[in-house]
Amino acid sequence: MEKSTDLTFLKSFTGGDKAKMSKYINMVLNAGPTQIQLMQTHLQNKDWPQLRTAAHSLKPQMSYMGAKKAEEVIKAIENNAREQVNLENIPAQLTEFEHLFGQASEELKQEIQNF
Amino acid sequence: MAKTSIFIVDDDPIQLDMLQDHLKKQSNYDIIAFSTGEDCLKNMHLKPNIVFLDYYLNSVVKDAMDGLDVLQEIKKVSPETDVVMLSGQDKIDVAVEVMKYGAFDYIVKGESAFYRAEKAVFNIYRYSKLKKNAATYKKLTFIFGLAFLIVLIVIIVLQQKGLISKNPGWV
Repeated sequence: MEKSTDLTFLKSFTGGDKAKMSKYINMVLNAGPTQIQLMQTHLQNKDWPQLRTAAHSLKPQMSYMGAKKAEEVIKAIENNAREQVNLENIPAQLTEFEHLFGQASEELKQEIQNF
Repeated sequence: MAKTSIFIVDDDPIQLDMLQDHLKKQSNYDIIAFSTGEDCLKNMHLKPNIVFLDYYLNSVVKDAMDGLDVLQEIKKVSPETDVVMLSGQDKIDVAVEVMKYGAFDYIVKGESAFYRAEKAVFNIYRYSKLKKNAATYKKLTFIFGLAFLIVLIVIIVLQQKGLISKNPGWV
């Protein structure tokens, strides 16, 4: 099965320092579920500016973990919430992002165990 | 040589940590990190050389000051501090807007942002060196110009009084 993450950037950024890589990966793994929960709350409240803010903060994190597909989806959520267009697509996008984040999380946890 | 002092302001702890780590690796900077613009502004009496400032600062504290407002306040209290704006938005109009308000540079967040931040510090240092040199050259030009004028006036006065010949003798 094709991997959904790529730690090439993180390896280069940390100089291959496994302790630092673990630190950053854990920060993303810890922050992600909270942000996803927040996005769901903001979606329920139709609070588009706050939804945009939550999506915005996840975007670079997905990039650093090399989670390209997740990054694309969160970018789409952010754009839709900012421009307040295609709002009917956001629930499905959020579900997709949750799934992709879950997949990425499993891979990242495995990576940490392999260090 | 005095250490370059840098503030980093970002409400994303991961971004804050990564940028701090990266800049510390490059050189022995004095770096202080803040998660809100308000905290940064409370410490502006420290007169940092450079502030890396996030555009959106309200993901944790909902009604925190936004980056643009913080930028304007920084330029008011410390005009000599150079501010580099960071944002996830890859939009030219946002970049133009922050430059209008006095930012030195605008960096889009992502993998290349850390290298660009490093380059921004180098460019700021080089630009401030050029400014200092330009000021020095301006002073020297003025001094030499004034000295030349004085010598010329003295020569003319002496010639008028007949104390020196108009003919230098080799003609």
